[in-house]
Amino acid sequence: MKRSVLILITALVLGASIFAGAYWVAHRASVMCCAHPEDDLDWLRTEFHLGTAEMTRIRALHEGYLPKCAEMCAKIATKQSELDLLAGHGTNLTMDAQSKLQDIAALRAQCQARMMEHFTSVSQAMPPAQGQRYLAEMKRLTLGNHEQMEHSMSGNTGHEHSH
Amino acid sequence: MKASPSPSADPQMSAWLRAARETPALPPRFEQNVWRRIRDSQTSSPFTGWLDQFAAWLVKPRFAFAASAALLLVGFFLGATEGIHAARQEARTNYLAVVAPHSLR
Repeated sequence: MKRSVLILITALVLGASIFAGAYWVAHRASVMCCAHPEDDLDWLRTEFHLGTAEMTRIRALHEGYLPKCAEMCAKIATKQSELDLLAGHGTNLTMDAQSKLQDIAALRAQCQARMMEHFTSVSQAMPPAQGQRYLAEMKRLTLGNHEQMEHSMSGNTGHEHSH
Repeated sequence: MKASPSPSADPQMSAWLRAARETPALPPRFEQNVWRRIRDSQTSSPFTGWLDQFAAWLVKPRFAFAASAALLLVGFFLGATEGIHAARQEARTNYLAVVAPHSLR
């Protein structure tokens, strides 16, 4: 009995070690082989099965978009730090702070509009089916969060509040 | 040439040999252990029998190698699948971080 239990425990430990070792090695190898963090567009190439010509067009669009995006983000960051300074002085929301909030909201909207334009241009550089899939995925990943939040705030979450 | 007679053929010689052979001392609590083992074997449950059979099956080299190979293959397959998925997720996060900073999401 004791010997059998010992054999069983040893077999379990050995089996778990073999499985864990193989899993870890394969996981590491796959991540190292498939990930190319130096290329921002690697995901597009693999996920949407794009060829060299399509990637060249998309890369040009990407390179053109990045400076504009960085400029807009810098403007938002400046307005945000100004708002932080104003809000840091007291507990009331001053007219100046409200104005800054509106400025930030307007800049964000402008930036999001440019982002969506860029997504549309990129989708048009892909084969139609892949382009539609890309656009849907980008909308889901970028604007989807806002929609989820708005749904939850408006109470359309599928459950009712009890009073 | 005349063959010499076997020692077992001579009863006196056999008696001398038996007397000359030393009997080793029994280990402590030998008799108690023997009875305990007999008792254990008679009162073993069906589970113990099953466990012993399973343990005997586990130590067979053929089964041990087959099970190790199967675990190795399954581990490799799952690890590779998960690794590819993780790499894709990481690549997607990298792309999103560049084209859609957090302030816009």
